[in-house]
Amino acid sequence: MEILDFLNYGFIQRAYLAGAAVASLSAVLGVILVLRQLSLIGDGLSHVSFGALALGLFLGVFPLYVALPVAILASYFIMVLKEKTKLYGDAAIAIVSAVGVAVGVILASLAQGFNVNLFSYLFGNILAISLTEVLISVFVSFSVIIIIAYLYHDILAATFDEELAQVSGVKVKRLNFILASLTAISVVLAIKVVGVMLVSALLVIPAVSALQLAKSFKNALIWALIFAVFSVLVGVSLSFITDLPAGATIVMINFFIFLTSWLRKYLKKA
Amino acid sequence: MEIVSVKNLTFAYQANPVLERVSFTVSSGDFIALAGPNGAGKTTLVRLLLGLNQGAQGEISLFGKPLAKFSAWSKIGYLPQRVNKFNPLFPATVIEVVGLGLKKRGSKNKEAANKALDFLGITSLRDRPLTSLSGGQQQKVFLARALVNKPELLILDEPSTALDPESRHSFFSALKKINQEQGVAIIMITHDSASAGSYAKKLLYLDKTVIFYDSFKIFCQSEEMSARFGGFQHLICHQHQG
Repeated sequence: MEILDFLNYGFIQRAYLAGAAVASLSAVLGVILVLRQLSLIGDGLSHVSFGALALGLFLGVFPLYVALPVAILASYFIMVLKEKTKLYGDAAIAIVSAVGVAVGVILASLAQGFNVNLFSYLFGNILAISLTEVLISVFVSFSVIIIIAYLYHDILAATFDEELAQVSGVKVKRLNFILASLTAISVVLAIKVVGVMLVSALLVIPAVSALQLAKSFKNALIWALIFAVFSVLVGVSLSFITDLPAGATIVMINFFIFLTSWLRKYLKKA
Repeated sequence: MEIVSVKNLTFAYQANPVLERVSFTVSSGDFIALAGPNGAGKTTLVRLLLGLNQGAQGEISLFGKPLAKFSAWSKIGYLPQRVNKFNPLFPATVIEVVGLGLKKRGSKNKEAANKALDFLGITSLRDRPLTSLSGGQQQKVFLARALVNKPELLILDEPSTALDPESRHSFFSALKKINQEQGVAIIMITHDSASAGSYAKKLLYLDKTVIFYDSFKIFCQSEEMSARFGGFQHLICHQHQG
């Protein structure tokens, strides 16, 4: 069939592979973050990454190399700010997020020459992903999912109730630092797929859709993973066929999945 | 065997004294009702025992080890006061929640979770979402979670608040069975004088410091306590004798 010829293109295959890997990772982490009422952390870290990407471009260093450590440090900072100053989680995220964008805007204004490059990170460009980036995305996503599977019991316990988990012997502080690092890694990888502006959508929407249907935690993880991968595969295809931006198309598909799952739950209750 | 030892424990919250020179010990098989007025420091004391609050002066030892070096948390089961304040969106089945109390997962441990449900007579709830249960049923699920590792010490913070009279009776009967048949020591914070008098063996009355700590029998015979507590002593001792 001619309509499916695009599947033979290398850049489409690379987009499918990297997109599915990053979507799986984001979905699994997303369920954990949403249940811990940290949905906005993706937004905060992606905005910090925006500042870091600008810094990378400003210094002439590969931007994602700067964004990754900065995002990890920012995630620790959010945790420490929340714990030490007894700020609400969303207030700590808002502070870090605003500072990240401010740094990015100041650097972009100072340099003036890299606005086009910075713009590509803002909205992502999965169809332009290189083979090296695909390999990194798949390897890192797979590794992070293995770590989450290994820590599954502790993560589930701490997500349900941190204090009860602590009394059961879970090292909650250490676990929170690990989760913060994994979230930062996931955000930086997802920037290439959907861009800084839409990263949190990839973390949050599949998770929220899954929570409309799931009866158990494991069930929620599986549904979120299916929704996220489906949205990326269909989003990339539609984007190619209709010439729409891939990142935004992926987000809109996620939104329609959410509406469907919410409607299903609502009608079932009625 | 001494499983909890507290010596001269003093704790203040933002310069307000909460506990002052609290000392007591708990042995295997004890069933202690921890009573006292609001703000007496009961929940703080329990949280300090569990390492959930930091910054106290004095010594706490659990199973012969200083709290800072204690790591055998599976020996302790904890049922907090706010069990019904968990995230209502959390998609967890009863068996998942009970399994959360386990140190590690595995088929043997899964069996332990099933046994805990069986012991409390709630096996039929096994695959139900936690949010679909009544307050009393949820309380029993959390008790099963606290029991899943077969602890030697059970700490309960006002466990009867969400229970109707019928559920309260079956809940406390289960506690008595755990204490008598399995020798599990129990520390139970309670405002429920009737239940405390009926089921516990000892009374630890706290009002920032330990006012009374001994058996109910001694409390009920003490003229000093009668002069001090009057109605409270009458109520709790009436139930105890009954």
